Amino acid sequence: MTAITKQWYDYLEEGRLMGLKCKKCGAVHFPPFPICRECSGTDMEWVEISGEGHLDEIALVTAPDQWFEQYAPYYYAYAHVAEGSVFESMLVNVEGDPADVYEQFLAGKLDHLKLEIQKRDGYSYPVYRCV
Amino acid sequence: MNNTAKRWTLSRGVSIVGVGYTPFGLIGKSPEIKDFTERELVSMAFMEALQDARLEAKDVDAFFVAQYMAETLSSSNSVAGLYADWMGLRLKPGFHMEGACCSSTLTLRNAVQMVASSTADIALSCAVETTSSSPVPGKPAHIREQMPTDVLWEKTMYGCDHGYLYWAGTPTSFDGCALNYAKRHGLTLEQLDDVLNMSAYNNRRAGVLNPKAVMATKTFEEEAAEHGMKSGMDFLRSDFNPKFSVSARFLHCAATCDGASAIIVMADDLVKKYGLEDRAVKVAGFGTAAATSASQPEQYESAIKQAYAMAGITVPRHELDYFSPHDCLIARQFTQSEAAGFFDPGEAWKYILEGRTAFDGDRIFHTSGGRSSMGHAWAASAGAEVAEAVIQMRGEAGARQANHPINSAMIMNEGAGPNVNVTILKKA
Repeated sequence: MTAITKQWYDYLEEGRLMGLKCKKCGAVHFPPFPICRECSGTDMEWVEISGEGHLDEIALVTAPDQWFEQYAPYYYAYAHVAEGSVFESMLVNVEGDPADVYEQFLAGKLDHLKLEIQKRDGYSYPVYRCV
Repeated sequence: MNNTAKRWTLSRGVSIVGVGYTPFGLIGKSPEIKDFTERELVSMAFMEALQDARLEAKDVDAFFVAQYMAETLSSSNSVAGLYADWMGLRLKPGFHMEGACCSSTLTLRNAVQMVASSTADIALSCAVETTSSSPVPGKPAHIREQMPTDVLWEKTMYGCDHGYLYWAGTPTSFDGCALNYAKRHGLTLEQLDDVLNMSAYNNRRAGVLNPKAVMATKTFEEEAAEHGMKSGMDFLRSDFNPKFSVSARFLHCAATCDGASAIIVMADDLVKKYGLEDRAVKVAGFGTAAATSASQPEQYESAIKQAYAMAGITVPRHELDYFSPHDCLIARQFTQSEAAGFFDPGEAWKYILEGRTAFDGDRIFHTSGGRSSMGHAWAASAGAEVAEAVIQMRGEAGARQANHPINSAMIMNEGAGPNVNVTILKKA
């Protein structure tokens, strides 16, 4: 076992979006976990992910916990990355009237996402941009 | 994901023979529970369940107590011992469990398993939560102070993944499932608003008839009349019920409160000996799925499959008479009931709009008032909803009794995201 959480954040600090890939079945876990949820394999390797994502659900966050107050209000994405894992995060370039945003969501205009790395106080974190 | 459910069976059949829950209200305000501590609340629920089961505390072999935030809201951990003395269960096997807002169906499951494994004949699952205030360090338990809502929610978010910071989105997972549902079924934002408002409306109609829902004092029709509006739905669409996200309004949310619940389970082979045939409702199946907060649809599917395999349910649309959604976010009424197959996909919202999921409808949800009208005492709510289902199945719900027989019921619970529980009850 290695310090997976720290390594993930260290990679993000270097500007790299990394996941753990199961050598047995090929499933990629982003964010990373040490035991494969698909096949229970434990032989994993770090791989760079594409950063492509697909939006499943969207939410408007107006009153988050104090740690995220500085970003509020923000839209939040429940999404899949192209490699298959669920990864949820803030949407950085969706804003405006909720009814308009819902119309865009309905029309599929928010479907395509791209992860980018946001510098925060003491750590870096992947956030989604609609593309 | 491996989502194939093995078919588990209890090695000894188990029934619920006694249920109780306290008035759900505010210990700083509601006369029924004014100045109560967690101790009085959990004891009150237990005594009601004992009376319901015509048993005494000494008959109970072991107990499980659920409390989500014992440390934050009671300045205590390891609370099983603490409550043992209060409940007359001193020196009996007692266990504290926590699975956020589905804690009390986790404890129910464990109480059932204990009896099924013949390490107890009669076991108690009880739960308590006091969310409206917090203890004052160094002072006795009845002295409490107001807890700011933002601090409360911050502590609640401890149920979410801290390693990968998923809790940035949790406060308004209100929107996520609702908007996704609306998109899939072609609802406009206005239609979605009507469905969410009607869910709250249906809940309140039951709540005002439930003597335990002490915070639900007025129907929305009465609220509307007081403000010079024509209808309850007008009131729910008005500025008295403001939106705080794309779809969610204030009265769509759980009303956090204080309360306790208790359920006594007994081995089936003892029900006749104790003469409790009129009390008994069988625990037919359960399912539990743990995962990080981002895994909801898969969790639903897994927990439901486990429970249906165990209970032998193949066509839920025809085999379930009552569905208790975990409606801390009221959109869960349609997302969960469809995930469970209580309705076909795209059907639930129509039933809700037509009032058919209300207590006097033909495909009913819980009849307690739900989390928006009875209130939400986190760990205690799931157990209270199990109790409510049992009361309905026995035909003892009085003014809010369903107008058709309830022979089977499903109670679905979510705990902060990482936990999903399903409990299936059938008439003995």
